[in-house]
Amino acid sequence: MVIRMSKRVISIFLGPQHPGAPGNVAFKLLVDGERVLDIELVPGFLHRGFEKMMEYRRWDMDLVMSARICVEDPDHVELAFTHALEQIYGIEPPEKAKYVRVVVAEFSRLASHLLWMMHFAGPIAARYATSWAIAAREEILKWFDYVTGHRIYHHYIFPGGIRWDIPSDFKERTLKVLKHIEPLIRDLEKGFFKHPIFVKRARDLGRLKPGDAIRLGATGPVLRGSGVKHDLRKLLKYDAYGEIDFEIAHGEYGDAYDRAMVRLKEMYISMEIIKQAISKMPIDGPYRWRLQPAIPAGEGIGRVESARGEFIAHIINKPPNKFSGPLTPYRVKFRGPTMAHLTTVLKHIVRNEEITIADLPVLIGSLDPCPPDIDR
Amino acid sequence: MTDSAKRRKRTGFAEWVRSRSIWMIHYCTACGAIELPPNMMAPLDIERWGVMPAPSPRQADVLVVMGYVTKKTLKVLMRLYHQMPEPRYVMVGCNCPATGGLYWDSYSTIKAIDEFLPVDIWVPGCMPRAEDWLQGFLRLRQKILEGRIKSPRPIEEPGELEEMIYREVKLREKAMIEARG
Amino acid sequence: MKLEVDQIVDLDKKLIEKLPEEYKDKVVIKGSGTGKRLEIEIDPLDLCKVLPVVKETGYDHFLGITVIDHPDENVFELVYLISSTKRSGALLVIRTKLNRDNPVIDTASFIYPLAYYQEIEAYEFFGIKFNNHDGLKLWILEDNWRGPPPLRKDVDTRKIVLDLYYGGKRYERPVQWRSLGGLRNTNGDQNE
Repeated sequence: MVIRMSKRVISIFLGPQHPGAPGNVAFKLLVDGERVLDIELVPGFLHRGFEKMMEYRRWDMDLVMSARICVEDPDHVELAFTHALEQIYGIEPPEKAKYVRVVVAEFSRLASHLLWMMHFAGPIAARYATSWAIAAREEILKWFDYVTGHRIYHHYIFPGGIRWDIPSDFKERTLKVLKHIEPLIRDLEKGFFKHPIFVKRARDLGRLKPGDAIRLGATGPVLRGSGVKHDLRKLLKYDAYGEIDFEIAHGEYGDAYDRAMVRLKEMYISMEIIKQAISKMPIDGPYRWRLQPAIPAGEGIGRVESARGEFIAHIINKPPNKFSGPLTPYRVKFRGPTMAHLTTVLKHIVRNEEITIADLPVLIGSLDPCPPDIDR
Repeated sequence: MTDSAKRRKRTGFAEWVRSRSIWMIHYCTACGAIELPPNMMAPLDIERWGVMPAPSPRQADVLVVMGYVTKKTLKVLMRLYHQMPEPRYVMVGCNCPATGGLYWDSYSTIKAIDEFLPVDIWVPGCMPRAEDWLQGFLRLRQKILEGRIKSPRPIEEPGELEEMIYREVKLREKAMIEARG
Repeated sequence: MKLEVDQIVDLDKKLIEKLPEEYKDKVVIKGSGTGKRLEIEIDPLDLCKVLPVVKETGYDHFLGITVIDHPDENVFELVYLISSTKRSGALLVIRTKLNRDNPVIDTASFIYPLAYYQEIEAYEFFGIKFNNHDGLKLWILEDNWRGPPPLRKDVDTRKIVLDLYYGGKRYERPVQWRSLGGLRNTNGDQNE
């Protein structure tokens, strides 16, 4: 598309310090009046050099660092790293650990969706929905504090199983948390998602056809909102997802409203999964196999379905040489879902549809970006 | 103690008023920003103490650095700090900008932000809990009330602020009387 | 405790039919668990022949490019991860090896749009150049790092950081002294 730089077309920096920016990223917009002609991402404000730092540290220190790659949803990153390491070692975790991992991961997904509500409803000026979502998330953080010891970065999912045993009133406590959260989510549905102002603002915005979504590399609720039923929990059946019965949430149009509704449905489905996992969980049994400290040579790819999309951890290990000892991995690579959403998908939407500056918070919010994912 | 420090160390009307309304810049720097929403909204509502996120740095009082600072963010932070009108304060949270923290051998983070900005309050932790951030804000309030702020700010003569306010009120009354006859 | 076969990934007959002659028998199954994948190892000059074929047979979901540095064999290894939405999420992995002194390869962004940005990353972290790519620049590392591509194995970033910030010492760092508020052990032989 040829954009003529006439006197009306100006280029604006939607910089990192902005209430409408989703965290610490910047966008360069090309604007004609109110309409946005082109958008470009400027990342790098959160770059820490993880992949280089991980080559200097032991593999359990790497697990601690890998949780800090995505702040809002740290358990799935740890799960991907754990899967990759377990493939290199060639073992499978015990039964009890699989179910507890499912419960922890689903709670992390719930907490991440409730935080997404804050980023989404805040710029639209629906601050009541923000308050309810954060109040519900507080209950989940207290549960995490009780079971794993920390509110945000748990380091509970460990290669070989889970880190320590669950407390004795695990089932009652979890069901109490779910009973507390469910009315709040129903209030959110009635008060925000069915609100006529929100429906008017989000319907027919950012339409993404299924063929385009797959071609541009979208994953997660962005892909499922367009109608493609692609969910790694059902297809790959890692951990204990093979024994749990749940459905895949999908939309049909592919606009911002459908993507938001997909996340709401996922919140209900998560609660269902947790209830089933708790009832099927074995109480006795080992919770972790002890691994030998030296990593064998090999290669492992861990793919999980995180709250935002598909997260991949690719770990390669060679026999001890000049650059890596027996305890440190040779190369660790992470690829988060946000890079595809904020670069190719956003450019495609902006170029093919009339988006004004006022629509940008709703559009970027419906794609649910997590900026540390792009520049780990 | 020097003269200016003596003048700074008394509590007056200006300090009382400034400590009760602290506006922070709306900028989620990094990790530690996740524990601020429970402060601003549901359980611990710091708006009762007068703390509010302001959208633009020209109307803000405190710059909150929430987490690690990369070199690219440091440029933005310095610019924001110089855009804030005086009196301004700086609060730094998390271990990473204090001593290097978890990313001590990273090639792109700043190890001690003390070399670039004058810091008033440090909130340690990785990450600091919601109550820790609240404690940080309360201590900042106490510090402003007692006048123990590190960053330079204009020193007013005793009673200067009250005079300015009364003068402004009188001018406005005169203009109103003229307009209404 | 050994890993069981829990996901059947069979050799894709349609893919093998359409591949060029020299790669028809080089497709292998590797990995276990969620990493179970089909692997092909190709020559870097054949990239433009293999990728369109792969996209036609249904591997349409591009995931990422991993670059591995082998300084002892003097190669860069590029690993393309591609998945398929139609074959229930199966993973296909294409590997190539580039010479370390002059790493040049064709760009894949005309076939998979997401490869554009993954190639910018490979350029700024490793120094690999891509033909017909018009946007190679320091994107993530823009103001964060000046110097050789940091993820190469012969660039020791830890030593650079220690020299720059900590005066060359790993323990007893000067930053730690300052954070203690001036309290330090008065040995007399520590100089900043």
